[in-house]
Amino acid sequence: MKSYLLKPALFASAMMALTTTSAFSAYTFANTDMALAFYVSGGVGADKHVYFNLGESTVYRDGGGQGIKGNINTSLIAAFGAGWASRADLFVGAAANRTGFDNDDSPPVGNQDDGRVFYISRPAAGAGLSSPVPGNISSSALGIAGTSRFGSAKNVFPLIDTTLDGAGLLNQTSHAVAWNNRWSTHAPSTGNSFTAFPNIHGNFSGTGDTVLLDIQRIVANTPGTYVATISIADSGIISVIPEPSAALLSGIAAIGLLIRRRRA
Amino acid sequence: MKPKYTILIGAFSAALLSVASAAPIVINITGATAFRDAADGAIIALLGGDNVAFRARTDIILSGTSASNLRIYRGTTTGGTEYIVRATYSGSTAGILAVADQADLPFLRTDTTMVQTGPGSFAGTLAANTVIAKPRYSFSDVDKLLSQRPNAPLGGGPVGVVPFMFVAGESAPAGVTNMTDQLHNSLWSLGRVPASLFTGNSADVGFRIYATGRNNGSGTRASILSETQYGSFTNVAQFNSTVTGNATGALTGSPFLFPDDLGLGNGGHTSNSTVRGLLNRTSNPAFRSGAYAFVSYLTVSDATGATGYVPATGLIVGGEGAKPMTYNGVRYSVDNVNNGAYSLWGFQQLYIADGATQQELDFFDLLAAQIPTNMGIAGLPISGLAVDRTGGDGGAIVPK
Repeated sequence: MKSYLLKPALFASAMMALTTTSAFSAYTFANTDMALAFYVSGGVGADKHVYFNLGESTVYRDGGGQGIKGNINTSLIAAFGAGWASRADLFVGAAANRTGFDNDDSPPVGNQDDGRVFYISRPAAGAGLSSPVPGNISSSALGIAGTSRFGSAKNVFPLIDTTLDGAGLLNQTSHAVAWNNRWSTHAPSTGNSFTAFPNIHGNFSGTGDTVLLDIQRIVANTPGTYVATISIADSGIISVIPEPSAALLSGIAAIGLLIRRRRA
Repeated sequence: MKPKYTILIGAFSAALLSVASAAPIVINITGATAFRDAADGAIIALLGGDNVAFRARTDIILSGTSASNLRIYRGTTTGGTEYIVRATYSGSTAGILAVADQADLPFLRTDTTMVQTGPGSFAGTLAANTVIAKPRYSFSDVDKLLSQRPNAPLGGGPVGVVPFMFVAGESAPAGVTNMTDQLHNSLWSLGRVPASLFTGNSADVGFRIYATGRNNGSGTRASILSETQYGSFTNVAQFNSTVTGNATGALTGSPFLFPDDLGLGNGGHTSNSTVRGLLNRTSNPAFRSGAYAFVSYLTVSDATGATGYVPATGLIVGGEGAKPMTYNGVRYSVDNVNNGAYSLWGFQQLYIADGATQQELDFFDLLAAQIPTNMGIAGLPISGLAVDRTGGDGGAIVPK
């Protein structure tokens, strides 16, 4: 399904990307950053994963972080071929977690989340329209997901190569050890990701030119709550777009201000 | 004396002098700390046996640096070749990495004073007692496929079987007797779980079982994580504790997560002896009223020492207070390994560097031949197995 509402935003994003991609010079990943991962289940590029760092996860929790994050089209073409955005076997998902530990052994510092809070993606037909992650995930299940599974998936980041457009490239040939902890090992395209989360990946099959992933914040035994939406365009541009209700409120507020100024 | 006899005697004497003054061949080994005592037995047997071969090992602490993994031996094989064998044990996968990359490691100096019995003695700094050299051989509890150099062109292969045992700490409830793959997954993912998961007794909900174990790079750890289907490269959550006294002492303070570059809790002990040190001590009554204990895995030699477990009978005789555990309901015994019922074991590998000389290959063959009969309780000969593994470490056990 095409997201026509997003076209103007994506056009603006593309224009901005021309000036923002040069800002990415080195690939880094902090423990609380949000990871975006691309992989294919077979064919060209089955020996590669492409990662992108969406930055500090609590920024999204607090309503910030919207805008263009980068354009990794070159990296995606290099890894998965020129038709990467038309492949039904290409999957993309996102996750963030501080650690797998609870407050007893690893209490949060400052604005940090508890170690058993997760941010996880859900495919969405429109921003904010994904179904909530079920509220039956226990604290222990979040602990296992964070410590041993997503924690292991994060092990690859210090080892992989940084591409010119700011992505991280994991190559089975040159990263034989890191390959053991590739995203798809712990978050396969079928079944639960990180042993706890169902259906976190999106792909371009039937979605047209854009994949939308809602990010939901997960705490134990509670349905996921919407935080933000990641837009992945077939141009390779990655954006974070505001929640529709927030955008609507902002728009109403702006109109209100305009009316007030005109009256004044 | 006729001139021709004089010449012959002179030549013979010169030859003798030549043999006597030939420098011994120096061999540098690294790898598995868990196998070091078994390697001791094989090397000493190769170099003349007890009370013939000379040896020394740094069980002492040199100027604050623990160097108990450094060992040196000197002796002559039955074939008449004199060797000085030096070992710097750093862990299985770390050893593979060092041999594959031909990394520089500290080895004891060849002029170290060695004795025919006992460990020898050392004084001074670690640097004063060692020289930097490249290891050419490595013992490993796991296949190189589970190391950081899975494609390294190393020679060698399996030379024995190394079994392990799960062991519960001295203060653990009596019902903590068995480890399953599922319990292992929970405990090492979360770092601590209620003892009731092990005992089935709701009264044990408030008693905490803490995971502890070896560091990243340990073959023992890789073996356990493979066998339990946890994933040999998957992060774990392990705790450590300060202690007091020896095996009759106690844990002090409260358990704390091992730091590690790849995640809080993913670190671990650099040898089995310090793991054993958390299992053979009582809990600290000042923390959780003492309602906690560690659980981990050990080589059989450490496990039997810590628990007093007698593999042949299953009885407990002596020991240091730690408690033996069965694995998936089966107790460790030689027969249970050989017949396939007990699966917590791996093949001991002996690797040799790429491009080894004929002299190095000769030593490899000599050492490999000594291992099956000189491992003590640390290992079992492959020839005794009625089963095999398919698919490498952690793979299915099948009849031969």
